[in-house]
Amino acid sequence: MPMPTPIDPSDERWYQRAVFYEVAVRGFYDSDADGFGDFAGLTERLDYLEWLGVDCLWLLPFFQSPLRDGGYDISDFLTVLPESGTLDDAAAFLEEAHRRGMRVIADMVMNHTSDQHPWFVESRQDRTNPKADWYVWGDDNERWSEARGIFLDSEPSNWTWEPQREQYYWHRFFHHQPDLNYDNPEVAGAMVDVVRFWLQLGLDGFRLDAVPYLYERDGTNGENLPETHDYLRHIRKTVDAEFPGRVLLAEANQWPADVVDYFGAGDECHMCFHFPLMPRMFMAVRKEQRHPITEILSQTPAVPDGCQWGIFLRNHDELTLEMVTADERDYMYSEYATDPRMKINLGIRRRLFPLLDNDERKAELFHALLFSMPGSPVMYYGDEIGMGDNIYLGDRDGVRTPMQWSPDRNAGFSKADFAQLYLPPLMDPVYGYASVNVEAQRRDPSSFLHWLKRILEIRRQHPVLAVGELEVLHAENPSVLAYLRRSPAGPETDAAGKDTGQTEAVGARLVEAVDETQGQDMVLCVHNLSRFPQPCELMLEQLAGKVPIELTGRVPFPRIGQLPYFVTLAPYGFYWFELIDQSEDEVGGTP
Amino acid sequence: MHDADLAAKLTPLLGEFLPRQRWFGNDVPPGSDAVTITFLEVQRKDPLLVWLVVETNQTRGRPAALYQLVVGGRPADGGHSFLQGKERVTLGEAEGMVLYDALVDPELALDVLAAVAPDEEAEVARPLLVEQSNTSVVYDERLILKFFRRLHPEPNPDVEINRVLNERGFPHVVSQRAELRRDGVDLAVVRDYQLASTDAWQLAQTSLRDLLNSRLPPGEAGGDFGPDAFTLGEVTAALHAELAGVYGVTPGQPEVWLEQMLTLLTRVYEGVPERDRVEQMLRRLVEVRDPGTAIRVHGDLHLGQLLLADSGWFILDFEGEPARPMAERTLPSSPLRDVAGMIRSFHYAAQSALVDRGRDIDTELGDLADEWEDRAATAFWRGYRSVPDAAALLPGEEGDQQSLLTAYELDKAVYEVDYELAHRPSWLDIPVSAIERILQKAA
Repeated sequence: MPMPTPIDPSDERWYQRAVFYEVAVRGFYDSDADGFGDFAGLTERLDYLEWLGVDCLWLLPFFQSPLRDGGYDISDFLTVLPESGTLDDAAAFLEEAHRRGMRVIADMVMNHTSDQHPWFVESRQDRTNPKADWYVWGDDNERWSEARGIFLDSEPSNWTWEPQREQYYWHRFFHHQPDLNYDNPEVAGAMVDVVRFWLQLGLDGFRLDAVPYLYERDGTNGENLPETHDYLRHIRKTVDAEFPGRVLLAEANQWPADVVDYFGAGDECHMCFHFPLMPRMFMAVRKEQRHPITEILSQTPAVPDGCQWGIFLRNHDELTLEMVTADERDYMYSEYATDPRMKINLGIRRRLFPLLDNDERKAELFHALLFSMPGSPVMYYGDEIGMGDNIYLGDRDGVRTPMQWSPDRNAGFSKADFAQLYLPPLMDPVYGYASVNVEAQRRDPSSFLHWLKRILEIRRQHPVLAVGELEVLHAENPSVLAYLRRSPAGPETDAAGKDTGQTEAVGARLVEAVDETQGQDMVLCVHNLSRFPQPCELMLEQLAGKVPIELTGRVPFPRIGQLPYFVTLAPYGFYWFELIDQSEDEVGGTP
Repeated sequence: MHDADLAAKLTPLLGEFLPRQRWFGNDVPPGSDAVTITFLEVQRKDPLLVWLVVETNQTRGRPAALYQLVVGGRPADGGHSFLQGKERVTLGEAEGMVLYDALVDPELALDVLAAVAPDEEAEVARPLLVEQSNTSVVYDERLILKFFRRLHPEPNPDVEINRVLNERGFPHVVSQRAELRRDGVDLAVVRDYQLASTDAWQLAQTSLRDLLNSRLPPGEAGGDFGPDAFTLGEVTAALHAELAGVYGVTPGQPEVWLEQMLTLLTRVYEGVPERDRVEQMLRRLVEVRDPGTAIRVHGDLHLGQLLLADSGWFILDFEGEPARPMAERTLPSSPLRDVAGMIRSFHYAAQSALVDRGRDIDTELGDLADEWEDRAATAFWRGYRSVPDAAALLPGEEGDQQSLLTAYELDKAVYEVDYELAHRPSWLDIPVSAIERILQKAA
């Protein structure tokens, strides 16, 4: 293994090219045999993550919490959940990750706290205590009826009665998660201090949970309010001034046109998740048609300079179907949630491989899309080995079971007694740890894990896949999705082939980030969304003369000419081609 | 070369060239007097560009007709590599020049665009080689030129309706950027090109491919076409409501409709016993209490005329059925005529998918394809009637609706027989068996 390269603090836009890996400290590796993953365990497994080739870890909440909502119910922002270790453990982990060139961001729940947080314990006592206005209280439960509920299956109302104080409190999520009152400057200030505390300790940024809901206003649905954006700008300013190079990633489950507001003018969040893209990838492949994907891409506005989308296939939550039409939701349910148990709220609680019928070719296709569409990909722990789910566990715990390291006891995750584990590992014949685990796949050179590691290497060599412009190409065959990723406004990219010399400004920085020896990087991606072989003719006249080099094997394909460029694709097959200028006499061989 | 010399050189070449073009519907017997050439424009430069109209003489009962083409010319010794593999569009050589359909010349295609749409700029031309009754060229993957081949003295309804619907802000037609007309004859239009779009025929084939392989009931198959068909019903209904607003609404005239149907029937089935059965059925079916309204309709609506783009569905090609006389194409008609066109198209889609797989091998596949067709047709019809402004144009009673709809389906199937006899005899079984099925079902 090569020597680790520590992170480069001058690279302030690292997040535009990074591959993120979402992981639960609790679920990754248990170093002290208490049945619960911890920071020391995560540190032990950094070798694996470095080997795999991820750039940034996103840690699910690891703060003090009664764990009634997977840790998103925080009862002390400044303390590590004891089962996961101590602040010192966390600091040591951050140092070790940084030494290997990996960054770490963490979930930060801005919107609410647990009802066991001392702030709320005090606030609920009466209407006059010092924290009385730290949460959102009301005398009736009718106000803001325009606001939608999120946990439709378990919460009938966004208001809950507090008998001590004889008032209702407002909660967007579970009733045990009261919303903080950001209209109170003390609250706004206290949360900035929380942010400061963790950045000081070494975190490289935050994934800001449930960010559209910070404020409430009469006559609105309380989402995406101007006050919320003002506050985010305030946080960004603080971060930029005190901790340059750290990143804010917004979880705003909204339509792209609304989500871009969270980038502001490049002065709010650095990154936002692109929620509507994900279900449409599943729809497109199931329908064997590119339209669901190209449609949402065409509706996706450009992001401001210095910003980036976060894109993903699956995460720790349900496969959310809030950003699809009612018809599309019915379709997704009928295709991907055949057992009613698989549904939760407005979504499907299943992991990636079960959704894809455990089909590795399909999984490769989905990752090829994930790693070549505009945005920084966010993987979910366990998906790299094809872990399954357990739909008989409550809430979304079925997709949060322990990482499967080996066929040993407890999947090699913990030496605790089985009954002590925070959740049981999967033991079924298809996805159970006896057959699906890291050890087996590392030994098997043709495993999905090895394929994934290879494709991540390729992506790293071609930053244009991360930061280039996207140009969807015409293909007669609706089952084929083809696009070009290329750095903007370079001399070779001008449609007429003329040298316009526009490499300055935005282009210059990108070209610099791209391979300096080759100048412009250009990658052609062609994907077959169908389970049958497909032909495809691509109109590439404007690229005539270039030679496509297939990126997994570096095999040169026939030079592009004036005629439509013809490729055939295997079922769920894909090609990534680097397009290079190569004269006839440059073809290899001994001189 | 003077124009007269040029015409003398071109005429024999055209005699060979024209019958090879699918858009050409006349006979040209060998001989120099078969066609009359009128030059619209001659640019004597390199490459040469000749814009012309040919008039074919009346032959074998087919009326004289006008066709438009642009001829390009380049030195025979080079510079025309774009002609490789395109013998069909090459006219031949004359005076050291190779002459060809100029729309396949990337340089001349830009000149044609400049003539039709002087305000538009483009750099790359891509002729669409799919042969239809007209020829199209895509520019910069942004604009599409539709170059009319057969010319008519009347305004071309495709140009007119598209423009009118643009003006009314109707969302399901593409934007028309420029029109070229000479002496009232429409020659070409330039419209927005919908990148990476797919027509509904291809989408239906994708759906059927999935269905016939998964062998699930059509509603459960991943490629279910039901929601798409419902949307197509809504889009068609929206078109009818809009056309009714523009061109007005008149009471339906079943006797006129019947007359048109019988004229076609007689032409196609003359002397065939089926003719009488179909005629009796048509007469019975159009006898309705309330025929509903007559409006301007699309006239040739089928899956291939509906395009799914990233910004939604678009309806194409308002020219009407090419085999019918232009004057008849613009007559008001029951909106059910378009509905029937779509229902027949679902049948074609399902049957063509079956033919591809060999339908005789497996009866289960045939049943699945029938189910697919029923599901698509039902969803389309539901989608259509969910638009109140269009539903109001239909006969008031469901029985009358079904009766007229069946009549139009029958009429369309007769038209298909005519078309297949002329173009694709191996497909003849599709409309013939459909006629039998419709007769049995309606009896």
